[in-house]
Amino acid sequence: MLSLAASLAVMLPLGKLAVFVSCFGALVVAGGLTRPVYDHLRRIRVLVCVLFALDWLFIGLGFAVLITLRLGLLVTAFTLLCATTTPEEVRQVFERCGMPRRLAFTFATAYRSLDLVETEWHGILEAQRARGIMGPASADPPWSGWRRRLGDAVALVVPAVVLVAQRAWQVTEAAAARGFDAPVRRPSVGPRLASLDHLLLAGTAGLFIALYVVQ
Amino acid sequence: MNENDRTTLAAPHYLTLFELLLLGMLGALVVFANVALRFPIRMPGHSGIVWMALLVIARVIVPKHGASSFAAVLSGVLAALMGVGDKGALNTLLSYAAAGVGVDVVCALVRAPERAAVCAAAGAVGNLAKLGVKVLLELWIGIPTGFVLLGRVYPAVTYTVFGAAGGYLGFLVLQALRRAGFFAYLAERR
Repeated sequence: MLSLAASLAVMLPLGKLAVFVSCFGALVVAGGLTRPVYDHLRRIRVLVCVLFALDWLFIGLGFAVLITLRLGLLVTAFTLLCATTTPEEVRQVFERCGMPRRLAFTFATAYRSLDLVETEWHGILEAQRARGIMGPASADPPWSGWRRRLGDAVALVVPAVVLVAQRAWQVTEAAAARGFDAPVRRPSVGPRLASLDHLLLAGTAGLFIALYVVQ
Repeated sequence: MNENDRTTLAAPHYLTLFELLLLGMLGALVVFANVALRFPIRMPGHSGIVWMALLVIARVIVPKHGASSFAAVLSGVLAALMGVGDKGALNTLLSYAAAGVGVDVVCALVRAPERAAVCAAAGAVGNLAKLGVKVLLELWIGIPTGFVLLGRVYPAVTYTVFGAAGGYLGFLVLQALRRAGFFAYLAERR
């Protein structure tokens, strides 16, 4: 909610936005999240510089600063969520918010499968290279290298899709064997919200209301 | 009504657990492929080649409305949590979701989405939807419309071309999967 509120704050006028960005920056520093925020901002530095220059040139300095702050805030708003929340916590929140268990289970399984997908991907890559299908791309001129890679992609994606389907079937069978889709299940107890969580939620709700009133 | 009655009367789900997990795994594959499989092209939208291919594949191997959108939304959440994307998590999540919806919309309009032209069109629309999200976010934060539109003419062309190429790649992969008997394998498990 805090990240969502920060995203919505991009609609504030310059003065209020500057105050909000200052508070947001203080929160980022206090939370020890300067590194991920800096990484996000570094990725868009060229775009920000070009936009700033164009806006300043054609419209004015105030507008250029406003757009820069808005873009920076939009890009970094969800860093708070992503850097402080594990996918397992996200899954538990989904379930608490009423998301069907099957969907939450699918999300958790997909996340846990990322490592497996990476391992299998590298395995396929090595196997195809051993068969002489995949080769180093740097030896080719850019355009023919690109065309060859398109053909190579078929040789990579086909076994990847097959392996992924096999994995999905294995998980389905394992889940069914444990009674996953059975109609009668004991509810699992997730972690409870601490008093600090309640305080933060109340603060965020207050921020939402304040933003609405200010707007 | 006792529990056994509930068992017999339970309505079947729109997507089976296997289909959900298959789409979830394909979502994970989308995220990984976006990070790992890079073409040596420095043009906007080129990541759509593998991306759209996988979304088209997801829609054809799970032939139900919304299959591609589900895989796309799930991959968007995963990508956002992993910090993939250069314009923030909101842009990542919405871009991934829009691409899936674009593919689904095109596939919903035709009877046989596994045809080459349909796959290419679905890929092009999906990749353009991704660009559309970027444009909308830029307009939302107040960047002048003229700047946005002028700056997006060239990307619109490249996004369309790479999206169509991705859709066609998806078609080629589906052909190879069909020859390998993959669809018979899937039919046994539904």
